[in-house]
Amino acid sequence: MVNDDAELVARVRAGSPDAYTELVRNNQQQVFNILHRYERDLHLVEDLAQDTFTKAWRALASFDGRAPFQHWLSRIAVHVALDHVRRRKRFSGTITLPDLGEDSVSWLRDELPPRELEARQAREILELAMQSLSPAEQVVITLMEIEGHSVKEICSLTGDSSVAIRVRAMRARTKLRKAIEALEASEYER
Amino acid sequence: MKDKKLNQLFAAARRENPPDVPASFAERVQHSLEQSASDNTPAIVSFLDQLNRNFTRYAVSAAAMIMLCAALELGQSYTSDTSIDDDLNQICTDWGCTDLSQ
Repeated sequence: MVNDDAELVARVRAGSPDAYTELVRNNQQQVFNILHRYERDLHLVEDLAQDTFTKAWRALASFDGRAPFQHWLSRIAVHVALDHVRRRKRFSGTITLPDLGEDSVSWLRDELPPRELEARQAREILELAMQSLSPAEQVVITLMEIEGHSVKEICSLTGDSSVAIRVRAMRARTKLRKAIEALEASEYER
Repeated sequence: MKDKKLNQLFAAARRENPPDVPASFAERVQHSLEQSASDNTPAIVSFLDQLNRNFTRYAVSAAAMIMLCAALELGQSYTSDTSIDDDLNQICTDWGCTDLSQ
């Protein structure tokens, strides 16, 4: 795949637009995998993915081939995700506590016998708790804890220093703990 | 205690399946790129559009020019030896009225 991508990039540069369609096909799932962590609406994920590939097309001249194309594209996708989280935060206005699903509430209350939390419910709770985080903190904690990237990999993806990444991750965890406590308290009051 | 809950949340979120890429997504990207390439072709721009687009630039240039002229005028009035009476007489001579200083 890496060799295929390098060859396709060379063909795009030689003036074959069809090669870019092939390049998109090779990497589209990976881009969707990154972006769906930051947006639940599939139509918006699609828009963000399209934005990623458009930016990649425009910046293709700056791709030097030292790193695999997939990695270079992932960096663009992470920056598109960060911009999206920033825009969403700017326009979200006041933070409200919408009604969580009954299962999520039960999990927060610790009232039911221990059971596996479903991914959808975890996502619902995390999305609410992450409203207390800055966009950069949201991206770092998602890359580290949900996608399972190392600090070094996150540095490479975001372009930030390892110290900045560690500090952001620590702050994010503290804020998330507080947010979950606040959610539990608000659920008790219901 | 809260760390345990947080880790449970992360672990559960990790299990979420990514969405499937819609069919013909790659073709749509290609179409959008072609569209934006054709949109970037230079269009005929009217004089009013150009004026409208550069209005701020023109306004700032005009203001800078006025301020420069005023500064020059002020500087000249400080350096010249003529008094206000001389200026007044000059104006009166130019406009053919009686000399007010007399």
